[in-house]
Amino acid sequence: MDWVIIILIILAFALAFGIGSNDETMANVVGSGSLKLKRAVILGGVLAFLGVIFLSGNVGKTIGASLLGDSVNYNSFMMIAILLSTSIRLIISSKSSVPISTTHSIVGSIFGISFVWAISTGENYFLSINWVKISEVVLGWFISPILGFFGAIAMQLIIKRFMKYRSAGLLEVESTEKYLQYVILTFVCINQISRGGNDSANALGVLIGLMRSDDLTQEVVTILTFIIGLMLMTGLIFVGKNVIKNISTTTGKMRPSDSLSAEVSTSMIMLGATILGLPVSGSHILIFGLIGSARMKGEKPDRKSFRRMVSSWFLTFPVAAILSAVIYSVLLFFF
Amino acid sequence: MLQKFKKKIDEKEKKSRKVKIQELFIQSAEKIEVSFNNMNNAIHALCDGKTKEIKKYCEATVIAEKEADRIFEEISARLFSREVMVFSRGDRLYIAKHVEQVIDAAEIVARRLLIHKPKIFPDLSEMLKDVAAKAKNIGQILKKVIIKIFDDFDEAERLVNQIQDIRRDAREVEYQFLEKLFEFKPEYADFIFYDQIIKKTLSAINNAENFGDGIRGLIWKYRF
Repeated sequence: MDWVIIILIILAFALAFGIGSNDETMANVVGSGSLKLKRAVILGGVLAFLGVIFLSGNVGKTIGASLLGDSVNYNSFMMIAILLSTSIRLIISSKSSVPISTTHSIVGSIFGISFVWAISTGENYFLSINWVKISEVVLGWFISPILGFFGAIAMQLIIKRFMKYRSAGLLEVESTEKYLQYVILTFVCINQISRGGNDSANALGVLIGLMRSDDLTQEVVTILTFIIGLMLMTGLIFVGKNVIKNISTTTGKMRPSDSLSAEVSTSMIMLGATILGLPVSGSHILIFGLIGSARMKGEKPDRKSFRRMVSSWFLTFPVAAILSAVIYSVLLFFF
Repeated sequence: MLQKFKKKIDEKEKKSRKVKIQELFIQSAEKIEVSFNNMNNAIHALCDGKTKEIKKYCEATVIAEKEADRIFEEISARLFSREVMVFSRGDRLYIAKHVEQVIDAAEIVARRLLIHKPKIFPDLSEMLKDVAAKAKNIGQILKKVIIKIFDDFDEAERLVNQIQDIRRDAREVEYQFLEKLFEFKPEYADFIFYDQIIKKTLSAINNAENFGDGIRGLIWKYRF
């Protein structure tokens, strides 16, 4: 096996580990006390693994070669540039504690490498991108948080009606909320499986690319998919627990009836997108869901942190594109 | 292995013997009623010149406050366990803490009553008794409010409104009392004593009313 391919596989594993480390899906159940941290991360890890095995196929096919134009020869150096730029962006965002989307970063990187490819080959840049596929993906990024926002509002209306007849006193409120905690746990589990399938596709896309270029066989990719699932699970269990612990202190203060609307909305959109093969950001949908839920109660998000978060989301794309373009140019120069 | 199993069974038994946290809240609410009742009795004894009874009731108020402290400590220690849901812990702590503060205010009145034996003025005594009786009434209602917030928001809110009305009346009596006090011009020590007693009694009433307002806020927060 070529050394470049080995590097690519190692980078894909590292990316899967990094994705697992940044997965905060289980934070809500830990914060609300439904599950202890240890149990939650183990359950989350196992569910994410199942998601990788059973749900990652469609999204994995979307990410990678299918986003590039037909004339582009998707090669190993392009993949290295994509994986490296995404990893660098992930590290930077982790430092600034702003959640970014790995998917945004991967697609941004594809723009960067296709730009360098067009210059180096003298081809038309507009032919280097599969604009139909890209439009579908980008549309998904905008529509999914909006759906998350309105879905949470609709759910909040239903929950409000449900709670109205179950809030005679604090004890009744608490017992109803306790019941809702288990409902949340169900939706969080669905969300975790979907996220495992959706997020892991960023690492799997590379393997599918290698399979298409005949560098890897179907059997090897199946084994590697299994390992990617294990890496994601390991990342979630050993490093992701810190992220979950941090976020759970904030979400735990929320009433289950408030966070349920955002969780239902997020899990349904994530599941739908994963089945349709659309790479979306679970964090973005959840945040917009929480904002929708809060709006229904007349609360507004903190403008400063919201602006910072949104600008970081928008910046992810060009930063990843520039990074991947630079990395790919360097690789082309040396090899 | 067997020892571990035995230890687990012991822990389970210990848990089942433990008073439910809800019971502790009811117990602390009862302490408000007891302390305000004893404070009222002590003020009545003072106004009637029954020195021995003042001591008896003041001591009973102090004991009630100590017991309330113990209950508060137990509630605080257990509040952050799995017994209570995360989202309501802060509000339950608010209730427990304010129960303790209201009882503290009654204890301060009781302790001050033991400091000095003033000359009795019938007019002042009547007004002081009136304020004390209102405080006792508020103590009884506040106990019901604390119990009701757990099972009937509407009733709890109605009771909070009652506390407000009684407190308003008590404040009117306080001003009349102070007017009379300046009119009678008692000896300096008696003047200070009466001034302090009426103010501290009103302070206990105000504490209870503020707590009631806080409970109204909680009702609005939790009622859909």
